[in-house]
Amino acid sequence: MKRLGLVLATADEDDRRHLVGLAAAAAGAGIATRVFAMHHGVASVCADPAVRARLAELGCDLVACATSADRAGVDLAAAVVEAGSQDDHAALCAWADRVVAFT
Amino acid sequence: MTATVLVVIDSGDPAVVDEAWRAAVGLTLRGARVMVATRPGAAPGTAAAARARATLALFGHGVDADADAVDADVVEQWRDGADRPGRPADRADPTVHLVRPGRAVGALGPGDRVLQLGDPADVDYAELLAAIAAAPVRVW
Repeated sequence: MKRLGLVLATADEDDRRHLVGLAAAAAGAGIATRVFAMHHGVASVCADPAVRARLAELGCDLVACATSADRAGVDLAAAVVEAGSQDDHAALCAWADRVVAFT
Repeated sequence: MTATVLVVIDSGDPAVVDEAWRAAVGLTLRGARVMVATRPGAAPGTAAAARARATLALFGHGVDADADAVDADVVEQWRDGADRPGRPADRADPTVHLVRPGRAVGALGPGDRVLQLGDPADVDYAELLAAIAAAPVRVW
C-alpha cells in the first residue's frame, strides 16, 4: 500500500483521533495520505485545530466539501481548509490503494 | 481496472441517508462503478435522495445492491450504530472490519478479520495499518 485515503463524515472525536492515528502510522511507513471531510466531518475538523495542525505536520492533504460547509455555516477559508467538492471525494477513492471511511 | 465503490445506507436519520445518496452520486465522477445498498430498517431519504437514486440508476449504477454480497474496493457505511438485521455474508473477497465501541459487525464472510477500535490512546495504528493494507475496510 502506497496511498491511503481517509473519509470523515462524523462529528465523533474518536473518529478524528483514529484518523490522525492512521495518518501518523502511514506517514511513518512512507505511505501518502489524503483526507476528505464531508457532512458533520467538515464542522468537526474545522473546530479542531489540533487535528488540522497534526495532519499538516504529517503532510496530509485535507479537503472539505464546500456544500457541507455551507450547510453547516462553516468558513473553510477562516479555518485554512481547502474547499472541495464531491469530485475530490471521487478522486480520493480513485487515487488511494485503500480507503477507510468514518461515515 | 474500474473500481467498485459500495455505499451502505444504514441509518435512521433521513439527513444521513440523503448525504449517503449525495456521496454515491459524487463517487461516480471519476469512473467508479457505484453500488448502493440500503439495510432493512434504514430511514427513507427525502426527495433529494430520490433524485440521487434516479440519477444513479439512469447512468447504470446499482441502487438496490446487497450490502453483504458485493465485493468492493471501497466501502462507505453510513451508519447510526443501531443494530439492524444482517445475514451471513457471501462475498468472495476477505474484508477487514473496524468496529467502534458498542457496535457490532453485521455480517462476516470467510477470511474476514475483525478489529476493535477502542480508545484511540490504546490503538496500535501501525498494526491497524498493516491489517488495512491486506483487504478492503468496513467501519462499523
